[in-house]
Amino acid sequence: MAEEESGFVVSEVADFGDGRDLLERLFDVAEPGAVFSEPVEAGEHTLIMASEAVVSLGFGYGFGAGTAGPEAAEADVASLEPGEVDEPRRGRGGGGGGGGYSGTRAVAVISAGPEGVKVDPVVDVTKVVLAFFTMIGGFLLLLGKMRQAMKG
Amino acid sequence: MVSLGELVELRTVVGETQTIDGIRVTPESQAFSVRWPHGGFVWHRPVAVVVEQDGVESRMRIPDVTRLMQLGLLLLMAAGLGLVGWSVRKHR
Repeated sequence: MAEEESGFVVSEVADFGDGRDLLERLFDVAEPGAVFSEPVEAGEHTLIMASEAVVSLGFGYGFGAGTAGPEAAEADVASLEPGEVDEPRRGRGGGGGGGGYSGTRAVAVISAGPEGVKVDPVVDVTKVVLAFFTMIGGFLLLLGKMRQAMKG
Repeated sequence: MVSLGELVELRTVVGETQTIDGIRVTPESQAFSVRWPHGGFVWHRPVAVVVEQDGVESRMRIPDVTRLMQLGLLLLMAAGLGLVGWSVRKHR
């Protein structure tokens, strides 16, 4: 049975620089060695697992700043004590976040031994069965609509 | 390598050659990546292994049987839906 590892990643990004660093790590998946495992010796054979990897990532951040509106500014001025200097009220805030998805799926096992090199595909039965039931569901849905259309 | 500037890239990645019992095995894979300002997507799949044995080099493809079966079922569904849609229109 094929091994599958997948998950969702949620991380907090302190600033745009952090976001860029996280993004660059995403593209490490496109580097050599990301989908082929290190060789593993099993008896007379050496095995290399070939997998498919899908990774996606998105992040965003926002920052805002502003000063008090005219009414608030007037109220501030009105409330000043003699000799006090008016300083406009300012406010600011910001935040950021990121999330992503990573999934891997075994595709084949490459084995090297006395008889040479072989590539043995790995079939994920679960995914095939799900695709089959999706197909059946699609047919049943359309058959139902077709019957309605013929009655109407 | 095919690329649309720095946004979209499709490239063949050649891995490190492993020598196993005198047989040189070089993995090949294909990486499709999309990059946008605040994110990205990478799909990396194994494609083939280049085997060099006794001076003879051969390229062995790595078939993704699961994906092929999924696509086959999807095409079958699309063909079936098309056929049913055609027969409904004909009946009308």
